[in-house]
Amino acid sequence: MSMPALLDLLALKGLRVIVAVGLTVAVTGYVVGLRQSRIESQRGVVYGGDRVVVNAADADVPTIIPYTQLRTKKLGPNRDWKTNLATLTQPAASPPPKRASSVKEREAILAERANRRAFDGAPPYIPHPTAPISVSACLACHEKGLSVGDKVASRMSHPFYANCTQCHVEIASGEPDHANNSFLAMSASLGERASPGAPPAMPHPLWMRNECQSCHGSTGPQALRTTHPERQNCLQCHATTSPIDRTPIASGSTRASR
Amino acid sequence: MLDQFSPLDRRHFLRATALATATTIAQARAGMPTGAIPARPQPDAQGITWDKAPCRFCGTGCHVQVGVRENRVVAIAGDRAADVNKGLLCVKGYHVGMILYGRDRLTEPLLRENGRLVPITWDRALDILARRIQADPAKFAFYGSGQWTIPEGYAAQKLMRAGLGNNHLDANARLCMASAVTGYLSCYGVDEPAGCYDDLDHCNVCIFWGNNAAEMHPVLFSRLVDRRARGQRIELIDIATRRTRTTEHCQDFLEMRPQSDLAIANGIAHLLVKNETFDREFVQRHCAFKADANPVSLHGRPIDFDEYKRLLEPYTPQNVERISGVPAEKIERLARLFANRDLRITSLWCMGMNQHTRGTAINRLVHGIHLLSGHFGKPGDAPTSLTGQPSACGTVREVGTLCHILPGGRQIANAAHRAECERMWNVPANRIKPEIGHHTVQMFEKFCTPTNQGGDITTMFVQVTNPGQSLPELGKLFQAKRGLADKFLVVSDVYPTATTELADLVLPAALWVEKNGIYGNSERRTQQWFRMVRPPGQARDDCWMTIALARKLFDLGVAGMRDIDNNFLFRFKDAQNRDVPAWDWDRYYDVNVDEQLYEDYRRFTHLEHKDVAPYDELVKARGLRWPVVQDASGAWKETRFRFVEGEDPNVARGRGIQFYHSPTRNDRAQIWFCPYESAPEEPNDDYPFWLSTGRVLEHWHTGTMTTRIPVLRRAVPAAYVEMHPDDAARLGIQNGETVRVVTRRGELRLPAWLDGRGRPARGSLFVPFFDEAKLINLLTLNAFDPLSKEPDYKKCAATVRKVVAEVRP
Repeated sequence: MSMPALLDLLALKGLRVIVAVGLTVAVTGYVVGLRQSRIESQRGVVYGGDRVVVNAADADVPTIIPYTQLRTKKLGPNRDWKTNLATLTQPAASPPPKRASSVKEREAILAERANRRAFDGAPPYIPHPTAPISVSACLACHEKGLSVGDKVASRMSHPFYANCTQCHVEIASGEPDHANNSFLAMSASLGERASPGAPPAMPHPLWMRNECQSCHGSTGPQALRTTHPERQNCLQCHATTSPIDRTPIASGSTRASR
Repeated sequence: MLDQFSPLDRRHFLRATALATATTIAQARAGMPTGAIPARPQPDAQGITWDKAPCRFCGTGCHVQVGVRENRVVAIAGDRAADVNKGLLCVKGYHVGMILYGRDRLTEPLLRENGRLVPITWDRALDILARRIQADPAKFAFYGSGQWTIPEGYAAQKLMRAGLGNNHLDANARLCMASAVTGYLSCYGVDEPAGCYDDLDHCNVCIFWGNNAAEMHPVLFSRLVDRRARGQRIELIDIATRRTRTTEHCQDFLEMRPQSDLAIANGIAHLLVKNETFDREFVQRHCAFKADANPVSLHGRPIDFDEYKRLLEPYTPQNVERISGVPAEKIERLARLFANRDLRITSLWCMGMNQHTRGTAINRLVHGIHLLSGHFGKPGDAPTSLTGQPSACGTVREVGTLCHILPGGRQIANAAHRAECERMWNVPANRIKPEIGHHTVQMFEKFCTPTNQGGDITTMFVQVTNPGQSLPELGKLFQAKRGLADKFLVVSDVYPTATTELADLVLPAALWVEKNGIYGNSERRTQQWFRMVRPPGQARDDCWMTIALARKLFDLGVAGMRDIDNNFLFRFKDAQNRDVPAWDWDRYYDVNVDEQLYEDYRRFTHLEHKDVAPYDELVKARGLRWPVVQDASGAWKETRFRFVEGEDPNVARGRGIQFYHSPTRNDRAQIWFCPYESAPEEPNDDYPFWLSTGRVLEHWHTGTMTTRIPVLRRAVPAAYVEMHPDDAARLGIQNGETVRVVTRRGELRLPAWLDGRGRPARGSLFVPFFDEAKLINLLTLNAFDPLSKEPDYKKCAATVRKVVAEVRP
């Protein structure tokens, strides 16, 4: 066989190989593409214009960003990400209440609050599982406070103390069983106003509470929230009540010699 | 003349004169009517009356504010005026008010008849007990507690020693801090810490010697770690046999093999001596050296520095590593810290060092390192033992409710001390017997042994403690009482316990703020509170029980109940100087019995310069740290740092530091050498694990009170066994699986907890002892320290077995 003929044959063979590879890729790609479209349509994802529209009726839908939009779009969650879009929505920061809550509303929320502590003034117990040995996880949510869906991790109302589990203990599940103890708890009281329109005096001690936002801020229950979050200097108008605050000077006690 | 008051020594002579004067004044004071109780706090806007009280639980001695409305405690708050806790509490403290309200409070005296407890009257109950004592006073034992108030302990002391001439009086503090006592006595010649909690505010380094303070003394632990939150630098070092919440906050963790703390301490001393980095000047001025004698004794034998150095030679870092498993570099690092005179180092310990068959030895060694390196006497430089009970110091160590001591540091074995007590109690000479009584383990062993086989205790009165759960080797030391017909157990408590289960007579007691009280905490602080609510049903004060029992004995004609002047031993006077029959419960609160007993006791505290504050000063303060003496202006002043010039009024001017109760009577503290020795029971092939026991944050001791607080019960509902995941994997044990923990003395089924709150080293187990349904003390060892007689609850050999499903036919 002459050299040019050999080269022709090789070129032909090369071409065949290229064609074969090309066909295989095309067929595989087509089949995979078909399959993918089916999965996507099953999951209710449709592409529309430059936005990914999610069929909200379908619960666990990962958002998919077309390759063409990768440069401009942020990557969404991957396949392993389980979400429940119907329920896990970050609520828009709700506006502060327009009026002060009624006595009834406040009593209701105080009753709810009382379920998480033995008496008004006792450290609330922990209603979720905790790491048994380290407290570092506490701060992840409770340092600044966090609200996700209907779950609220309240911001620490007191100055930072490193040994969280010294005072707050986990209740393995549900409420403590009070049947074996007849303790009658002191309940929280409602604030009083000197006259209609006057700022209410603080109905609880200020002791170990330096972060009013913990309960009265945007993650607090509606009935306890301030109507005027723009005002930051709470103690300017809301006075402590000295007998309730039980400051050492109020109780008339004598300090030790040092 | 007491032998330490040598007439040749002018200073001692002056002190003796001052003591005599003070005693006279105090006697006059004690005999005088004490007047009305000071004005009480008034209700606040919500109708709640707030008053101070020390917390009922541990030896930290936090003050709480107790909120009371309509005769019930309704709230608790941290007391901001308290130096100890500065307003902070732990979860037990915040819920302490709920201990009063468990539904199964004991409210009437109960007598066991045909196996069942049936209600009887108080009069009959006391009559039964008094007649048993009268029948055989020498076979009666009184077992008390570090939860006794000071007046309760003092009344028991007076009844036993001055009344019955019986030394079988011991207290449960024997089980928790007796080794700390022998440690202090053999190093300084006088018991109790020289430092105080202020050291925690000043130290740069704090070493926890087998002490999980994050759970057991959380308020003190926070006092340390919260300094970091304020931007201060403080290094925390944990020396322990398992990882705990404390370890999580520490920069360094020395995971040691059980018992090897002695080797570690000797290793540090060895390096300080070898490298000549010890404080030569401090040692030359203030210290001397001692070593264990054979047989062991509290004061050993004096040695010189060269011998001390030679004895330490085997404790090279490499040898210590071999014994303890702690890397040599870590020992070297600790020695470098102690060598650094610019640092302030505080050592804290509790049960890890005390519940130890070498407890006295390890206590001595830790004091020795501090003395050798001069880390003593400056704020932040202190070796300090913590206590587990609210008045282990106040009532047991100071009042002397132990089988070998009398009030104020006096020894039963010392004839002069006995005579002095007889004089102060106004009872005939030789009323106090010279032979010491049974210590706790021995007392219960004798009680559980048939009388005809040498069991020479037949009637026992237990107050404010739960030995049926807290004694070691319960099968032998407690449960063996079952079936011994001639043994009679009387228990005063607030709830049914493992102890009342075997009791023949159960007496319902008033608890905490249901009575007046005085406690003494870990830092020499004496703390007073008033009764705030009435006890339920027929529950009554333990102190009243003792006085009423004494009166029964008096009425039965027991001679010891009368003093030289033929008067009843316990006399109380009202403001008009008229006798008040305090044994009549209806009249008991007509006078402040607490105040009068305390002032009577206070005279005893001057001998060892432990001068406790007058009652009226305690009423005003949130506790005062003794010695409390009047300054030039007449104001009562407490003492933060003992033996330190300018702080301790007993230190002569110009001395800097003066160990004025030195066991060698030359103002020198003793630096001891004590060798490492293996534990009495070590793991082997059959029992390959070390078993340690202890507490958890939420429950206090045997859980009698805390398991009745719903929040705490729910947080930690039951006992468990912690083990290393590798050991569990090897044995095929899953997390949460019920396993059998077995020792030579017993076995218990417990759920295994892997990677739990505490993480024991490979080859070791940990079980908390609060759970009365899971008595881990059925398994523990009754071996005890030869000097302190304190048992070792922290080490014995155990094995873990899978529970094999029972084969059903």
